[in-house]
Amino acid sequence: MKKYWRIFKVLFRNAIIRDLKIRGMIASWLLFELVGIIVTIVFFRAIFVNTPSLGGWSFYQVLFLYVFAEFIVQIYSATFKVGIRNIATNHIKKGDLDFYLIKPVDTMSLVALSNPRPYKLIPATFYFVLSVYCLIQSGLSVNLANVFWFIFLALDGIVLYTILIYLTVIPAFWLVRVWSLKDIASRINQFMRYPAGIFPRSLKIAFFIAFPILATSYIPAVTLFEPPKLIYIIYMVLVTFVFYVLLLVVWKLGEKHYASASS
Amino acid sequence: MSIITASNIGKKFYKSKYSILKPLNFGKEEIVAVKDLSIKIEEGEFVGFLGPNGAGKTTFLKILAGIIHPTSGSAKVMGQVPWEREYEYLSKMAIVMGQKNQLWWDLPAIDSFLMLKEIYSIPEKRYKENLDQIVEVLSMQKILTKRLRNMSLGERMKCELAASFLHDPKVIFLDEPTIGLDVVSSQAIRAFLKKINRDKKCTFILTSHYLGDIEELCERVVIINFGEKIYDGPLSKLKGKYAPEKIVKIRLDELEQRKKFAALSVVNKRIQEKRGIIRVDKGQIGKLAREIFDTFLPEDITITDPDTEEIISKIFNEQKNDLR
Repeated sequence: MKKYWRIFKVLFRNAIIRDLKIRGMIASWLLFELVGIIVTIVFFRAIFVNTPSLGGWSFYQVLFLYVFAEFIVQIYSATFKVGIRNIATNHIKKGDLDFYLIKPVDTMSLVALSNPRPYKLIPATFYFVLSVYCLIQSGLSVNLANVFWFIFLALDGIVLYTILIYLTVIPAFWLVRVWSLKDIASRINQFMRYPAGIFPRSLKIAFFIAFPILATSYIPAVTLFEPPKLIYIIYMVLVTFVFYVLLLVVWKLGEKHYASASS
Repeated sequence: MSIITASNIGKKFYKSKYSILKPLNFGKEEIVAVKDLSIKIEEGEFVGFLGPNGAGKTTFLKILAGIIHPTSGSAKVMGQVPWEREYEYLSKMAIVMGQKNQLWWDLPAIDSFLMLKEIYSIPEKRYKENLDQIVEVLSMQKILTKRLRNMSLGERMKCELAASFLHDPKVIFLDEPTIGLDVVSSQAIRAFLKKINRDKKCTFILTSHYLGDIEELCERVVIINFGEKIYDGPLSKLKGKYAPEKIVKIRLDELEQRKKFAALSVVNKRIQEKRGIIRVDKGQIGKLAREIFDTFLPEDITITDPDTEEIISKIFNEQKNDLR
C-alpha cells in the first residue's frame, strides 16, 4: 500500500505542476461545473415548487444527494478517471498496456493511478462544502453514528464506483476499438444523483444488484439521514467485494486475451 | 542450466472476417505469428533475432517478457513462466521497445526514474549508484530534467534504456532499440549495451533491422521467418552456410585492365562502375588468387565475405520462392 501511495505522490506532484501551466483551461472547466450546479439548483427549485418531496426526500436532501454524487465523481476524476479511461482509448488499441504489465506491481492499480487530474479536487471541495450546507439546511438531526457510517459508506461508495467504471472499459480487451466505452460512465452516473425512490422497481433491481451504481451515493446518504441500518452496511461491503472479485476475474481474462498491438 | 528455455512456442491471432459487405460472416481468420519455436539461451549470452517484418520476432519477445500468452508451448525464464507474471520475475527482467515509450510522457526523466525506483523497490544507495553510472555512460546529465515530450528521439531512447537498467535486470529484451536513431546515438547505445553485458553478465535478446547492431553485439543469431526458426547459431557459421563463396573486387581503371579481367578463367564475373567483381567458391579461391595476383596489382585487389545483409536477404528470398 505504501508503495502505491509513493507512486501516486510522484504522479500527483507532477500533475499539479502540469495543471498550474494550464490555468485558463482549468478556470473554464470550473466555470462549466459552476454553471452546471446553478442550473441544477434552479431545476430542483422548479420541481419543488410543484411537489413537497421527491421520492420521499425534501429539497435539501435531494440537493445533498446530487452534490454528494458529484463529489464522488470528482474524487474519482481527480484520481483514477483518465488512467482507467485510457484502457478504452489507448492502452489496448495502441498496445500501451505492455509497460504496465511488466511492472512488479498490480497492473490494474498502476493503470488507474497513472494519470491524476488534481484540479478536479477544486470542484470536489466545492461540492463537499455545498453538501455540508445542504445537510445543515435540511434541518435533520445527525449524530456521531450517522457521520461515522456515512464516512465509511462514502469511502466504500467511491471504491465501488471505481470498480463499476473499471468494469465498463474492460470489454476493450476483446473489442479493441471502442472509444465510446469511456463515455458510458458519464451516462450511467446520472442515476446516482437522484433518490432511489423515484425509480421504478425494475430499475432499482438493475441499479442495486446487477450494476449497483445507485448504491454508491444513495446508501451513504440515506445512512446520514436515517438511523444506520446493519443490512445497508453489510450490503455495501458485500456488493463491493463481489464486484471487486468480478473485476479481478474479467481483468485476468482480458489480460490473457490481450494481443499487444505491435511496435 | 539455461537461463531461457522455450519449447514449441506457438502464437496464433484471430481476425474477424465480418465486414459490412458480409454481415453474416462470423468466421475468424487465423494468423500464425509464431510456430513451434524452441530455443535455449545461456546466462550472459547476447542473442540477435533477425527476420523480416511480420516474421514473429516481437511476438516471441513479448511472450518471453510475459506481455502476451502463447497459444501453445512452454517457456521458462530464470526458472519462471513469463506469462504468469510473478513479481519476482518482473523485478529481474526488462524490455525496451524502440517504438514505444515506457516513461511517462508528461514527466521529466528524473521523475519517471524516481517512480520506477518506487515500483521496483530499489534501495536508495543502489538507485543512486546505478543512475550515476548510466547517466555517465550515456552522457545524459543535461536531459534528466527535461520532460519526455520535449526530447529528441535519441534522447528519449537513452532515457528508455536508463529506465530499464535501474533495477539491475538479469534478462533484457531489446526490440529494435536503435530504430530511427542517427549513427552517433546508435553507437552510444551499442557501446552502453556492450558494457552492461560485459560488466553485469546480463543476458540479452535483441531484435533489430540494422545488421550493424547484430554484427557488433551478438555472437549468436536466430533467424525467424513466417514464425519459424530457420537458423540458430554463430553469425560466422551463418556466413559459411548461406554464403559458401568469397567476393573478389578488382579496380579496373584502364582499358587494358578490363581486357585482362575479361580473359580470366572464372565464369561468375561482372564489371560494375570500373570494378571487376568475381564470386567464387571458397574452395577455389586459392587458384583464383594466384591468377589474379599474377595479372593485377595487389593494391587493386580486395577479397571479402558477402555482406550479412546480402546473406539474410538471400535466405528470406529463398524461403519466399520455396513457398511459391
